[in-house]
Amino acid sequence: MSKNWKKNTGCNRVLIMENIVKEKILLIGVGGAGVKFASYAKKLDSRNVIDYLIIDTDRQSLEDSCIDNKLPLGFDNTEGYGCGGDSRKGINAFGYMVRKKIIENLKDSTSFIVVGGLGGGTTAGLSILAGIIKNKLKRPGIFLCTTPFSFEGAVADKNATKVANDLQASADVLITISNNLMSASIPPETGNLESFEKVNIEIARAALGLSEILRCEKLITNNFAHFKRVFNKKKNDSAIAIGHINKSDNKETRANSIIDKMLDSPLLGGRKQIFNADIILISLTADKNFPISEMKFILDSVSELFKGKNIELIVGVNNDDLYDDEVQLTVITTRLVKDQVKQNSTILPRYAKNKAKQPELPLVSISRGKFTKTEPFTVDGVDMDIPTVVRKHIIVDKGER
Amino acid sequence: MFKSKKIITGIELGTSKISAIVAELCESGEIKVLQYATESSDGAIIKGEVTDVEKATEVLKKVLDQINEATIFPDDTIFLAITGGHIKSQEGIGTVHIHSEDRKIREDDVVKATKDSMHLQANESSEIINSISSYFRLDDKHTLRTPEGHEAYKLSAHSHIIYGNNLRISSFSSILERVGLDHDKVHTTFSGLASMFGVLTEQEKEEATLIIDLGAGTTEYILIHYNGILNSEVLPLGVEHVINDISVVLDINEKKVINAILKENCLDVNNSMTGMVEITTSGGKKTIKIPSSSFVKIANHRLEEIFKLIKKDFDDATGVNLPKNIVITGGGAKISGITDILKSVFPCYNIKVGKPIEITGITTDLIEPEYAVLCGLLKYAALELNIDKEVKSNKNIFSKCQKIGKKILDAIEF
Repeated sequence: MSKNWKKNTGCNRVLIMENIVKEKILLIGVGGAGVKFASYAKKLDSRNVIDYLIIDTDRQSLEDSCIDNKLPLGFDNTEGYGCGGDSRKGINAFGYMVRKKIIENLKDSTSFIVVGGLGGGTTAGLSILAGIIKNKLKRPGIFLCTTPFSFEGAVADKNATKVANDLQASADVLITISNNLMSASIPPETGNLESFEKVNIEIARAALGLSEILRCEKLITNNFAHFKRVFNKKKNDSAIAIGHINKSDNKETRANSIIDKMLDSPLLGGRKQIFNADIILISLTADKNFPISEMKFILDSVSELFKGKNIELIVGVNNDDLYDDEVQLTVITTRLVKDQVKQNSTILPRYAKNKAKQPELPLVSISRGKFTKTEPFTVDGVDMDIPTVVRKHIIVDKGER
Repeated sequence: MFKSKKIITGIELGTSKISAIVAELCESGEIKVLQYATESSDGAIIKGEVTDVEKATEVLKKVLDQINEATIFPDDTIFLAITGGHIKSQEGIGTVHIHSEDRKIREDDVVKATKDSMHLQANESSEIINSISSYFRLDDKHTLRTPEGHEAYKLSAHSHIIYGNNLRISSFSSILERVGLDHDKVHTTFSGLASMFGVLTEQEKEEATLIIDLGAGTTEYILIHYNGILNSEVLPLGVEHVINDISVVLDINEKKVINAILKENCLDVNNSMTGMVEITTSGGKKTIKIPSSSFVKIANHRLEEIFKLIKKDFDDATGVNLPKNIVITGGGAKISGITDILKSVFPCYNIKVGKPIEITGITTDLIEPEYAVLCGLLKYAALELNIDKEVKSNKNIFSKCQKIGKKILDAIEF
């Protein structure tokens, strides 16, 4: 628990905290995206109940954050400008000496939530961090990572897949959320800055939601063991939806309102997406005075959504007096990916460090495909049966082959 | 209205599917679908034109077998939709000088001018498919739709003529002949015209409207602009070009592209959780991961190009401002985000997806954009058969289509 929190709150509340908080949770933001997620979480964490640490190879990113606890990585190699998407630089940044510093920063915490955006350079070293948490400290850790937007291309997706594979092997719990889900539920006219901010806020809320599950007094159990059972060694595509209501909401309609807010969460990817899941973790956190009737209504309504569908529901209810008439509904939908990808390590052998690879020159196809034997349709002498993108020399990402 | 019940049949030989529909024209004017059947064209028709007569015949037989069991229909009530890149249109003008002392325009003058306007100015290999009376001009000054009773020295009738290559048209007829239908009695109709009848509301017909039928092999479009049909064309480009583009550029089997579009809805970026589409190679040994944005990018460029060709055509040919409404129909209208692409080419217009309207009976799955032509054939047939009766009582001279034109556009004087 941070010292600032003790300074700014009354004695009674400290007493409550002493009774309820058994976990000392550290939220770690890794890489550019991770630092942003953690910074937003810190801003949203009005109760100030968890500690924060940010780790990055980019000096500017660390300086811009509101989090005091900062751990710069690999400035020798990156000169403080970040990895530029180079996964080898990211892995090298988590070198032996740095690992000692990480352990020093992590040793006082009892559990960890790590946030980051896969596909970048710094996050390539996440599996090393996962190894430290699991093997050196022997403490529970949840890795909440976003996967790249489709427009970031196949290379970013390939990097993200490799890191995700490594993390599956080394982390207890890995939850991956696709950034592409954002575009499904944010209105198209929303400005790009606002859209990204919404995503950052949602991931931050999701991280805080996870911390509630680890931290709070359990009325109906869903705990780290449930997470481990669902996510351990299982490749997944997940989505997180948060519904939040507070004092100002109408008491008569707030139970319905929290479900609507949850279903409209930007990272859920649209209401229909929720039914694509194999497993759904539902967690409701409220103070001890929250009426049982409303609690039952919310949980019944959520369960009703999945009636008749082959989806495993894991429901948990947490009690936290710090919520003070606030309620949070956290829903994690998980679709398990059936074909498990081989656990290839991204850590390249030393000799590969300077090995240059001759890039392939793309062959331009002028095929007319199925229209090869048909009479051509021409406009101004141009054969319109040839694919438009070929004629206009538009580059298309052909994916990972 | 019809004094007794009449059975009408519509047949569409399309690039993706061959379909037939049978309906009853009720006394009230209601069109009640009795039965319809559809089968995949199986490559017999490419870009809207018959490339394999044998296969097309086989598929049509299969379709009619499903229909015939329930209904036996006479050949003269069969309407066949035809399309293809050979189909063109032109404006016909017929002029009559008014010699009477009072200079009043009489019915005979209108009939003669209209008949003259429907004469095709094209080479011998061309054949009229449909001709529609558009509007009249008095002394080259005033434009109106019903000139009868007005005074003038000269009456000019303007018509819209849709014509095509007679050999290509006969390839459609030969298929009908092979399945035992008398093709001389069968009424041929331009697919785009049928779509127009199928999906446009009366209000849309009254206002300036561009209707685009984005089919599998062709895209037909018709512009209605107060005075009647101003232009109608066919582009031999359609959804199959989108599929072919994806197949060629991403080097994936065409069937797998169709599968990815239909089952995984890969043209909808929002549909995919990961933004990646997994394609298993034909051997089943390797899985390729392709960003769904690549599918969308290829498709969008092709569709945008098709719409830009339509826009350019109108900018060049008509010299008029584009209409208020754009209605897109045909199977391609179901592509995710199609209206957004259309909007990017035609900004500031009301854009909607057109589905068949005013059809009753067995319509399960029929009220979809891909059945616009089939349902439109029934509505066209209803008008044509109704007008035939009027024609008989009207010295049998009027083009049946002139009346249809009048039906489409009620008299608005200019």
